[in-house]
Amino acid sequence: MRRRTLTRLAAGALALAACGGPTPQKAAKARDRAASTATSAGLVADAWDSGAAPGIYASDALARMAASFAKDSAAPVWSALPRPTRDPVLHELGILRVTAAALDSAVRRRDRSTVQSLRGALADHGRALTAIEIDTLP
Amino acid sequence: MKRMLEVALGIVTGIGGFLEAGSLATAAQAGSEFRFDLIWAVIVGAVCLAFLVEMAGRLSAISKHTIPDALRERFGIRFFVVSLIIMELVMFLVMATELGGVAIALELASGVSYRWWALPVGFLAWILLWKGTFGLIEKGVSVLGLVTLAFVVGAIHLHPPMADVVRGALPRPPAHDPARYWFLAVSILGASISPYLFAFYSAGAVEDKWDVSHLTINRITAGLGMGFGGIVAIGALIVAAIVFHPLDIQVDSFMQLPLLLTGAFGRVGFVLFVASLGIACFGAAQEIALTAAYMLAQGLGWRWSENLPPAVDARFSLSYTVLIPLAAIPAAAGVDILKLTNISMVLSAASLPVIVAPLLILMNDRRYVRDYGNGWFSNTVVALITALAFVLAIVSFPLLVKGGG
Repeated sequence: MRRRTLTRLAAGALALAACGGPTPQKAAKARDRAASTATSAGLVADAWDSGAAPGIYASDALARMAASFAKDSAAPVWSALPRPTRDPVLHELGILRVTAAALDSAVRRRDRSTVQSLRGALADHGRALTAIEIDTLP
Repeated sequence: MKRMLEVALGIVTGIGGFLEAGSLATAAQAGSEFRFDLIWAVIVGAVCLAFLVEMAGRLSAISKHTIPDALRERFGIRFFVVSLIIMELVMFLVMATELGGVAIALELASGVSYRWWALPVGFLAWILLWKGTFGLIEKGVSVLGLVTLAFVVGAIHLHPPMADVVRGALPRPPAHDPARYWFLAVSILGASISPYLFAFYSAGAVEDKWDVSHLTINRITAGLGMGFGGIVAIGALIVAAIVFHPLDIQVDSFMQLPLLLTGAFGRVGFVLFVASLGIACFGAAQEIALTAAYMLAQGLGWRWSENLPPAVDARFSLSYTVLIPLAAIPAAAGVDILKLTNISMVLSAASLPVIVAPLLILMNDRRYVRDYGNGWFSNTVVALITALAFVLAIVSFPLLVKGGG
């Protein structure tokens, strides 16, 4: 009996910890992850531009990163933020998704000048996303 | 001369076989998020593994028992079945991770999604086990695995601040995000002290017909092989700390990882990374598939040997024939391989007490190890490892929830 109660308690605690709803702290982490993806996308574009990474890899990686921004935009975690904070975050995520997808198609076309200009835009919007302040104080 | 060659091959096997999907991913995550602060976890993992591997080899050389059959004989069928189920589940997850790692390496090289590569990779792993011998599996893939030394060369090439690296070798409380820090520490330990490694090593000692005369080779191989292997993992951590940490890049996909070596080596770095990931994961997948089949066969008294034709040890061969395609399913279904890696490494850490605690008893039982049992120093170290294993088992699940990202 005691063992069963302990098992239930442990399972309940784990479920509570795992299924906790969106919080500003989780939103801040998700923002940082998205900014990290933007920086990684920039590095992939640079590596392709310098000849260090093959086009097949760069295109594949950028397509996956664009998909990751799309997934981030639809994530429920942003509902924890007040609208004046949430809207700019979603706006930047949308731009990052479009830019990463455009980078992917520029790499496929081997269009270096477009890659270089989009790479700059990607860095700007990555920084803009990081600059959005999320109040994580309880 | 022959013994020297055996020692050299053993060390090469240790180095080439140390890095796999789990140790690479956890080292890269640790370096990118906590710079050099988690180097100590890799060192602790490598030292623990060296001790456990040495004991596994000694147990088999003296008693002619592998760990599973000694477990069953010494502790009875009930204990054995429980530990078998836990170990097989963990090995299944780790094998799925490794097959996924090979599939990702092929995606990096071809642009074709890893989902499409998972089953062909599983088939290739199976055919090599079916047709190959133990020597080919153990040494062939591990020699190719020396390509992972690229991370050590990369780390040296990037001129890390040595004072910070040395500071990272000493455990200290995290500067930020403690749940994530300890989660990664547990993941690194789980990736380093994989129970399959010493079960595989013990089976290998019996396959290679080791006896008392091999004890010195065993000690050197375990110490230097795992020691140098740990240096490869530290190399990957240092490269990630230098390349990713200053840019605030968090590793949340294997697609980011080729960037670790492209900065230092250009296009060659890309090729080295893909080869490292593919070969290391392929070698690990084969070793795990063999170990999973060994555990079943050795514990249940079936005939077993990778050197026998499959028709002679049919149940042993059937075991890996069933396990490999099953383990390829998660990658074929599109499961996130990095998340699977983190989960399987934590579960691997959590499963350690099941095999480490009984090993401590076996290594002090004169019926098995005669006069070659553990001395006070080895017993103290294994007791500490056992305590660490119990702590890991307790904290791993809450950390997986809190710090798993």
